[in-house]
Amino acid sequence: MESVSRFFFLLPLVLSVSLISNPCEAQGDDLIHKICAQTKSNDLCIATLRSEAKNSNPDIKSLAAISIQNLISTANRTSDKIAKMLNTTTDPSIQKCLSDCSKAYTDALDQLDGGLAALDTNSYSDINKAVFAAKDAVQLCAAGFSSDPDHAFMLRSRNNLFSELCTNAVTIVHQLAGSTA
Amino acid sequence: MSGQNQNEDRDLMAEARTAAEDLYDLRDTYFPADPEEKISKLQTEADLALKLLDTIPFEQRKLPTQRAAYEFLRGKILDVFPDYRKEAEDHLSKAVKLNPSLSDAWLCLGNCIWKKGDLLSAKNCFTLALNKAPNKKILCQLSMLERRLAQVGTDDPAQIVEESIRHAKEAITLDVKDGNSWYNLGNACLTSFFITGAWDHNKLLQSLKAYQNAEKDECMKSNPDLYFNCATVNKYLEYYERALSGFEAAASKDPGLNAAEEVQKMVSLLDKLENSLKIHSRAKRVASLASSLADVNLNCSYEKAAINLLTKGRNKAVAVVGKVLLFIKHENLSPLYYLVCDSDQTCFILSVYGLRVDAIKEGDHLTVLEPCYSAVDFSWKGKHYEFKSIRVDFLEQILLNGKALAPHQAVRTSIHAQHKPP
Repeated sequence: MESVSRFFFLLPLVLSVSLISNPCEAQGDDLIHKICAQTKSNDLCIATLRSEAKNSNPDIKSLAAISIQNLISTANRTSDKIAKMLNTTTDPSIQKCLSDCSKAYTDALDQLDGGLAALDTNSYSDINKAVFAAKDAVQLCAAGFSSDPDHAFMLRSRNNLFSELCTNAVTIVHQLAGSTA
Repeated sequence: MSGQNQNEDRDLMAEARTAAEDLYDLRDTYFPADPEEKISKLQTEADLALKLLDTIPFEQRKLPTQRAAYEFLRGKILDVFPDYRKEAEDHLSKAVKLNPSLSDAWLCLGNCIWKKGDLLSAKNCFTLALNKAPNKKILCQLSMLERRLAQVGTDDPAQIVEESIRHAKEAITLDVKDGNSWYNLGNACLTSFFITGAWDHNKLLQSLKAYQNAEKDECMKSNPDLYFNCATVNKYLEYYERALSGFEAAASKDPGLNAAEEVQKMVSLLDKLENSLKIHSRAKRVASLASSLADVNLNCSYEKAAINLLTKGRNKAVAVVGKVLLFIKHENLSPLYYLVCDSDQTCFILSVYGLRVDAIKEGDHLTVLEPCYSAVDFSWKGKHYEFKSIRVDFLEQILLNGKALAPHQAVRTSIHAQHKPP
């Protein structure tokens, strides 16, 4: 009986402790919100950083790394999609646009690899150049389809998403540069 | 008894027809995150529809018209997939041989052969069907096919695109309220603009008109690409306010389109243009720069004019002389934007299409021949934008420090003027 009453005495205490979130996670989440509040696509930024930063206590630099790595994985997924589309389309002009897009995303990936390397050495302007260059490369993909209104929708949402992620990444790097100045 | 059987068989054929339509509805409206899931679902539903078709007794598929209907439905069901299926073509071919007046079968056969890459045979199918009776869906498909033929390279792409426009307009005459037909016409006019050298803005205006008519059809509310295409044309024409509204509409209809990014880029651009005018057009500096323009003589037949004397649109036989104050960087590849002041010290925005980014520098003298002028004046989400703007589409319109630009300074992007109109 005594052990039972002790259990019931301690139960609220145990529950309240379990309800308090891990202080490290809360801090990380606070930082993500603070960083993302400066971006133009706040919700996208939070979703991107949160999904990769879980169970850790990230700093701004690791959030910047996550944003660039996310760009790389997004570009890789789109490259795979383009390869599949090339396999199924018989229209030569669409094939040409898709081939150009494939090259555009390959260029973007090269730039982003350089951007990650620049992050290691804290070369903030080089990171920005790399991300902007990747964004420009993908814009060429969009431009290729823009003269064909029947197929302008192809890759449109992927290209726009990539562009938004680039803009967010640059904003995060800008805040990183500001925090170390 | 035979009458009752006939009713049951008609019902089965009608059921199979409905199943085929439902299958195509699924194709046109089901967009799971994993495309393989869609193919799998289509296969399952197609198998069920084929089973239903097979329940129609053989005796009731003997007459040529009955057999044609059966073969058509079989071919249509098999052709629902994005890739070409020979079995579908075989059944559809049988259907049109058995009943050449079956327009829907010709339409399906044309689409099937199109997937194989045989555009000319596909065109024949659509043309043969139209010879039987006009049909807006077939006219729209034919119009789209002609644009593909123009894009893949033929002897006279401009002429084929004119045919595309003609067929698009014909579809509209059959149903003036059909948004899809107007959308098709918009795409045809826009394609014509690019195919003919990307200089004739009238074609863009025709395209815009068609898109605007398409937007009136409630059925087109679920087509975000219509709004996006329309906004893209408005953006190219520098109708900024309409472009912003269009991109925002596209974004609201399909958040996955990420069209909000286009809105952000445009707002960012407009903010930069406004800020550049405010910050860099300080009176002292502009006065000293503008004074050097007063002595510029035009060694040509153009009359020198200040921007305040220009009218909206292209100003023929007139030239504006200006000094480049600033190159305004922005997120898009095209056009290039410069802040320029004229000899009257009026600052304006110059947008240049199809030019290399290193061709014009800050401090350069520019002479813009036959400037295309517009006055931007609108509000967006509480912010007011007001500035004078000149756009240049052709290299031949610019004299840089008194000299014509070299051809190698042109840059080919998808939206650029490839040659000056005669």
